[in-house]
Amino acid sequence: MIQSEAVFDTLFLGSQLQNRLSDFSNYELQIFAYLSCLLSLYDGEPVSFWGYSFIKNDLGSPYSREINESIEALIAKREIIKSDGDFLRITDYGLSELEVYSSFRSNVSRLKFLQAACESINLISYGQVKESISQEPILKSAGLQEQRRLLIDIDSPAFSILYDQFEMLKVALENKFSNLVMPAVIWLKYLGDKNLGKYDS
Amino acid sequence: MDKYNFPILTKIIIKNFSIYKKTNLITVNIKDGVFCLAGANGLGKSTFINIVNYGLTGIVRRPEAEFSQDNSIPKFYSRSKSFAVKYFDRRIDENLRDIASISIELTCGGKIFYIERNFFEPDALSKLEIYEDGINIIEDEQDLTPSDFDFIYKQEITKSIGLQDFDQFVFIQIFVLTFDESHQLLFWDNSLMERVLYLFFNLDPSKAKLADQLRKDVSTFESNMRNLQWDATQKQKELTSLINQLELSTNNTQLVDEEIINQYNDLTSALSDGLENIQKIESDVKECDLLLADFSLKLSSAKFEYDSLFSSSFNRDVSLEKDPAILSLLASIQSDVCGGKDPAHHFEQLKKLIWETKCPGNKIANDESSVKKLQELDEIIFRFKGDQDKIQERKLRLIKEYDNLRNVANEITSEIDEIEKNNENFRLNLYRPSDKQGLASFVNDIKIQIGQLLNYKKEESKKRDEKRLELKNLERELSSQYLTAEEFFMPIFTEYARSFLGLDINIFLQTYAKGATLVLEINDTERREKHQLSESQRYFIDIALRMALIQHSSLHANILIDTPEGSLDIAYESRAGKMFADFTKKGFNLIITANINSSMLLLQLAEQCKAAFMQLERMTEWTTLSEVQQQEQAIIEKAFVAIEKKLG
Repeated sequence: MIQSEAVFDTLFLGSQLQNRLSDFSNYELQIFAYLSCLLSLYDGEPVSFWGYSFIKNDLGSPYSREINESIEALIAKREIIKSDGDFLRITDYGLSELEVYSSFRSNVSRLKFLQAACESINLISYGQVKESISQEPILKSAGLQEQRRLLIDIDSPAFSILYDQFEMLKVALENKFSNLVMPAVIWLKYLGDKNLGKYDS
Repeated sequence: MDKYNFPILTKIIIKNFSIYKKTNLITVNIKDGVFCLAGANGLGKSTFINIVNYGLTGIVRRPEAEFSQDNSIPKFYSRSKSFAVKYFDRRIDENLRDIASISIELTCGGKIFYIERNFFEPDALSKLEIYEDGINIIEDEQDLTPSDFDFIYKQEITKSIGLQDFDQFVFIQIFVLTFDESHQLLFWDNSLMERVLYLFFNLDPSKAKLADQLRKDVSTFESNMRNLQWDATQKQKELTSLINQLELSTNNTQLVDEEIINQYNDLTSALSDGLENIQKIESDVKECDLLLADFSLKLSSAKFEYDSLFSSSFNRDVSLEKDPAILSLLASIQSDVCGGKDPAHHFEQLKKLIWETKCPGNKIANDESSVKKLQELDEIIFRFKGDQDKIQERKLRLIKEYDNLRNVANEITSEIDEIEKNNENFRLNLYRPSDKQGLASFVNDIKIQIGQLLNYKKEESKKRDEKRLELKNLERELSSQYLTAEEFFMPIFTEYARSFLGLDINIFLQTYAKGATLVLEINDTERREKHQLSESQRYFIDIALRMALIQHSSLHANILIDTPEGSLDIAYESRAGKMFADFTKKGFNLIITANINSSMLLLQLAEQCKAAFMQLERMTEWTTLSEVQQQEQAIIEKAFVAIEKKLG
């Protein structure tokens, strides 16, 4: 069964990414869907809120079967077309459908997370986002393990580390920001800097 | 004496059972005599026995559960029902769940039954035909649901066998007509044996049911008696303590300050108010839980409706050859064509689906109405979520209040305890000398309560004795029935058992506190304990008992035996084969699974029965061998040839 949340996220993230990058790939879409999901956790939503799950793909990046199926289904419906090789674009028909879905209340509650994830590339480069996401505790821990498992698993030790980072971030920001863009960017920059060894001392 | 008409299986059809990898349609015609399904370990031989029993009863026995845990036939049946779905879940591929089924053709009490059961709908039959004198007795078939078919089947098969309830048939099928891999034995399990004795020697199935009910009543009354006695003992202790304190107080004139007594009374009153509030909050929290569960159910069904609608409207634009609904219909058509059925009934649905979803004029209208419906459902989900959040908030607030009240109540209780501890004979002081009348009345009240409790206990004891007497009478009736039957039953059993063990065997009925059982005696020595016989001796003696019970109570029957040769000492293989052959020669059928090896059991059985009365089905026709088994293929083939040679 097609997952309604994943279809909406695909259309929304796709439209935002193509506004900024002219087109987008399946891989890029998965990264921003995952980042949006993490931001919902930062904002205090329960794990079940997101509606679909992620695993680690062979390259160590986040992958959601539901997003992948949505892309396939939207291509079959001609709401997405392949633009250049593996790159994709939302068609006008897809954009008009997105407008309809955007009015649904269940989708409205996800908008702030999707928007914040996309707006982060107004402040840092796409390459930085990609690099930083690969350094967040859950993906980093999954990268060290052979076995496939769901990334967002509240019983995993990496999940506790992620929450600790979020708690520290909240304390540091003292609730100064009303939207999630700044916390997202600061956290991503922290992950990138940490990877470069800036906090080693 | 009426005999049971146990079902005689004549045909078994298994469709789309994934672990049988080679074919999606297995048809087995069962002739009189022995049907032997032979193959190596791990190919699904035990599963076959479970499939057949599932087809007949709708249950698969939980392997770890012993009958004594339920100790009641209806309870065993109802508790076993849910296991079948779990059992088949990992044996059937996800995409075959809807079309995997077991069909059985059987004769029973002069009727011919055709039944078909999906592996994931234990309480339904997808097909039922019952022929009596060549006429299908199921009327208005087209108006009946699969659950109706199941209901009618249960009634008709129970009646045809001559039993009172379908659960009794399930019990007999699982524990007497089947010897499965769990090897639950009748000897050495008193609770199992007693049910068997009632069903096979009283031959009035209602008596077995009554005995079960009486045993349950006796146990309920005994439990009530124990509870009442405990209450009476507690009251007696309270009374003794009060009287002791009273005696002491005659020598102790020191009384507790009026002020402390007032303080104590204030505290107990505050505690009582606090406990009342706690109770109120507990009930409010329960109400919140109920509402939360209700909203969660509503939410999940609205979400499911939303997701289904979203998914189906989403697929509407998909091209015809990729549409999942159309692909699913095509799969059903393929299944019908391959199964030799007419697929025409799907065509109308296919036409309708194409008309509604692939024709441009309809599509626009459908799209608009789907979006409207999705918006409505979205609003409903939003509203439910809002309501659920409000109740969740209320529950959290109540829990906080509850914790506060509990803390206050604990503090008050500590203060009360402190006062009681610091002032000897405090309780007695509550009844001042001027209040002697009050104390006497208090003592009297307790005495009355004790008297009442003991009276209630006496009444329960009387009821228990009445039920016990009824049960005793039933047991006496059973003993007398057994003794009458012993003359015919004993020789049957001893013949089977002696032909296997080669020793003098005797069994006798013994009643004990909780009921009756059969005790085994070999060479004049009782073998009550399991360890007094080897494992294989126990198995085959138990199979001999089942055969004797069946032969004693019916003219024809099928018995299902799962890999009996597994633990058999080599010295007994040939004897066991002969015992099975003797049974089939009396007109009974044997469905047996066996490891294909050089066992003498199969060779002896083949020699005795010959091809006219024994079918050998190779599991290699159904499924593929593992790599190791393939390497041993030559040895396996040699064993098959040896058996087939004996069959002639």
